[in-house]
Amino acid sequence: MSRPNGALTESAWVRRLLIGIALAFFAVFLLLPLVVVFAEALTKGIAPYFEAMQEPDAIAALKLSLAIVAIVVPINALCGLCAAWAIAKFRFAGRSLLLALIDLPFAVSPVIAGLVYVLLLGSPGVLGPLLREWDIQIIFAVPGMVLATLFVTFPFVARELIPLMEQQGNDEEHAARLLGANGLQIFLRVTLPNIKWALMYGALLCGARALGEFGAVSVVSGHIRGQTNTLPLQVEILYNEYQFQAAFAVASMLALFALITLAVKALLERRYARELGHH
Amino acid sequence: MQVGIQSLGKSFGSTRVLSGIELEVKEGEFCALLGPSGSGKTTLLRIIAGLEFAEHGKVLFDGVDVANREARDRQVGFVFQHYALFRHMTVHDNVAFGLQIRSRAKRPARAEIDRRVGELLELVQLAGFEGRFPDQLSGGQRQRVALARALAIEPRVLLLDEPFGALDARVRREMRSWLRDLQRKLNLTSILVTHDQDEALELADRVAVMEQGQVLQYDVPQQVYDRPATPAVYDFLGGANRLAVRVSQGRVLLGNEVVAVLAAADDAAAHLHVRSHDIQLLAADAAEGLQAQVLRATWGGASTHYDLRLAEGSTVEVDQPRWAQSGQLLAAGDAVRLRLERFGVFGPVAGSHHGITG
Amino acid sequence: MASVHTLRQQRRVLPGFGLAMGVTLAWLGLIVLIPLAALLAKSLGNGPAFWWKTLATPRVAAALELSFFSSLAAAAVDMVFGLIIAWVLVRYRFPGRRIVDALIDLPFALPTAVAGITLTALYAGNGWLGRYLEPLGIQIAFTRLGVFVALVFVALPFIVRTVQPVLQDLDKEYEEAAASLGATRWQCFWRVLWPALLPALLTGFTLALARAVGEYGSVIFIAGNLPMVSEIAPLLIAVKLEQYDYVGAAAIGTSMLMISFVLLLGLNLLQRWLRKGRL
Repeated sequence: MSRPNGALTESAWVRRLLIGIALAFFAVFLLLPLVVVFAEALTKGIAPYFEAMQEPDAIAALKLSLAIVAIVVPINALCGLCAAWAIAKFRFAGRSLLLALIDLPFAVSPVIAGLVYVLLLGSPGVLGPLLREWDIQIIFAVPGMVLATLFVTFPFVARELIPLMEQQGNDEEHAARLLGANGLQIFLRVTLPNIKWALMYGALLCGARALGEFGAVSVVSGHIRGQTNTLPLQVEILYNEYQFQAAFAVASMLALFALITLAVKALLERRYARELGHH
Repeated sequence: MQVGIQSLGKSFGSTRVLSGIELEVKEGEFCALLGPSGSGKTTLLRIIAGLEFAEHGKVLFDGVDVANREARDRQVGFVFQHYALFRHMTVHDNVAFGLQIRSRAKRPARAEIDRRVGELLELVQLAGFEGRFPDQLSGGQRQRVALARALAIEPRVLLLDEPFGALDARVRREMRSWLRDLQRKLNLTSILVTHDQDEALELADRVAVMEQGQVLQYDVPQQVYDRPATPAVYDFLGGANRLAVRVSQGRVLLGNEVVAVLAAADDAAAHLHVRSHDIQLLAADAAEGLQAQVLRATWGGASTHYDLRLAEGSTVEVDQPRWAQSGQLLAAGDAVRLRLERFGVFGPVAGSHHGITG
Repeated sequence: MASVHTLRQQRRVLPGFGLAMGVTLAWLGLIVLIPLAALLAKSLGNGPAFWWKTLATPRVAAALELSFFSSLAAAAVDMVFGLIIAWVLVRYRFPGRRIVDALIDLPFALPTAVAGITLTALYAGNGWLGRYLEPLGIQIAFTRLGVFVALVFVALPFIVRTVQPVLQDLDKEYEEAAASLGATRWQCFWRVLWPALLPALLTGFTLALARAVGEYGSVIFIAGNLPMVSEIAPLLIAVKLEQYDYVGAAAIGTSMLMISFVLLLGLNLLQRWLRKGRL
């Protein structure tokens, strides 16, 4: 038997040991929970599973969750695009500070993300009395949930686009400019096609997080069934009422969304590695 | 179109990258900006294009200052070092871009655009490549697409930033003569940036040698090569030997030997520059020439390279072409005599003098 | 003349900087900075003494301590297993590798509430794993250990995903050079690979820590939330909010941000020092 160079590879048993450790850790911490979600949801069989998902409250929660995603993703994508254009295509004082500030929401607990809006717009907040006078309800209502979700998903798109656009440089845009293109033409015909997959990728991560956000939304939600409950909040309510099977049924819906996200993400990464600026 | 640069200056922060630039490129002329990296040549080209802005000075297109005009309004053709082709567009769409984005009033009809693209691709010898994408082309092909794209808007001046830098040596040589012919044919005022002296000398009608943000010399290639204006130009063009000499009563003295006689010169210490292939090796018993000893001989095909020590102590490098080699090669320790065929003398007071002996 | 100079220097080749910058600053200001300022104003508005008084209660101190120490422990454990998983994924080929690779991001994609109830179902006394662990005297759900387990789950992808690309880009030549000089496999790893991986590991640790400290949804179900024992700081904020103790909630929020900031700053400095000193 020929032995490979001992300094370049590990011996077979070290290899097996490392793969074993990695797979065991993976199985216990990632795979098992995934199996449990679906198994618990199906403990009473198929029929109650679909019943739980067709509950009016569950449907209402799904609708609200999707509505929030539909508002949050376009706003953060559009603003993230603007931020990436300013930061990646231009040099200006305070550029790295701006970069750090855009990343800031990732370092803040979701609960604090909810809290800051309560303190700003809630009844004890700075703008609270004003809003009450005008009879505008933001906190413990849907607008507050949208704002809190905007906060926690804030950096996703910008973060994906900025390194890619920096890596691509300005030459193509400059070439277009020299050929007589105006700003909109440069953006739509030259820049956007070069970053569209990265934009999709960032929007995908942003959407997945917006759909599943719990802590931030929980703080600002009024927890009114059928009105201010998103899917994750509905899971919590059902669980706290000891309706475990129903809770897991709704949870399995979210887990399914998560798996789809991961599949699309892996697909984008494999097919468009270069366009994403990944490895 | 005529391009004029007048007393142009620019800094990045506290670093001066260009100062006091004066340049005049005549209608239909091909000008090369030649210099080492960091000499400011690319910055100058980008200022002409409107991709950078100078702090002061004028950029004149046919006598009109365009320094405050936007890049898109200057009607210049620019070929980027790495081509900057639109990677998601076909060759056809790349070339057609400049026409397609025009406002409806100025945009040619579709068929007309297709015809012009076809013509341009024919011109750059890429007919039939319309449907390819940039990453399906070789470096030389990409370069020609970039050129066709720049020409599509009928530019008043063509600017080329190190256009051959990313190509391998053989393709580079082919492209060079091809570009030269094309430029002649179109009679299009062109400015090329390069750090390759052969490229500049071969292609350009006039060469501007740049260093540290200044134009050291601007002249036709023969003049720049044969009569470098400064020691720096000499150093940059064809790696010269630099020897400390003394000028006394018009005679140039290396140690105690008279190397040359100049018509008029003040007495001073000076430097003599001589290229390694402008030195002829003579036999040790020849009647004339500087005495020297071979330190090392390196055979190199077309020419043999010698490191020599002169009698007064300084070292000199000589390249002896193959045809001039008779009999056996010299070896370390052999004695020879040298004759300087062409050289330049630069002194602090005297200015420059060029000499041809023999 | 001076004004002409600055005017020319300020000119930009590409259009849209003003618009993009304006949108970016408005977005950043409205969604992130102004609300965060409201938090600081609320917590420090009554003077530092009042703020300190809120923090100094044993319950708050215990919650902060639990949050930070269990996060540090979880990030450290993930650093070990994350490195092994990244190593195995990059260097070895085995069946199922791609699926493992795609599912590493599950904790990113799975809503935290779903993770929370699932982990509880796994580790509760009658749960999938709990029923085997309990007889051994290991109780995880509704203890501090439960907090730790949930944070290990949440923080794992941060380590794997920062180490993986570095490991991928590491040129085999370095190892080959070391091997040709007579190094053993262990020397190769320790003297060639480890110094190159350490900065990425530290970055991953930093990200993992930041995420774990703020984690809410996946922890609160499994933790049991006993005051002074297994109550994390983000939950305490939510509790204070429910009791309308806005100043208290703000005080805990601010101090969490401040401790995180100091920790992250320290890790960044350590990283900079490592880059200068060793690489």
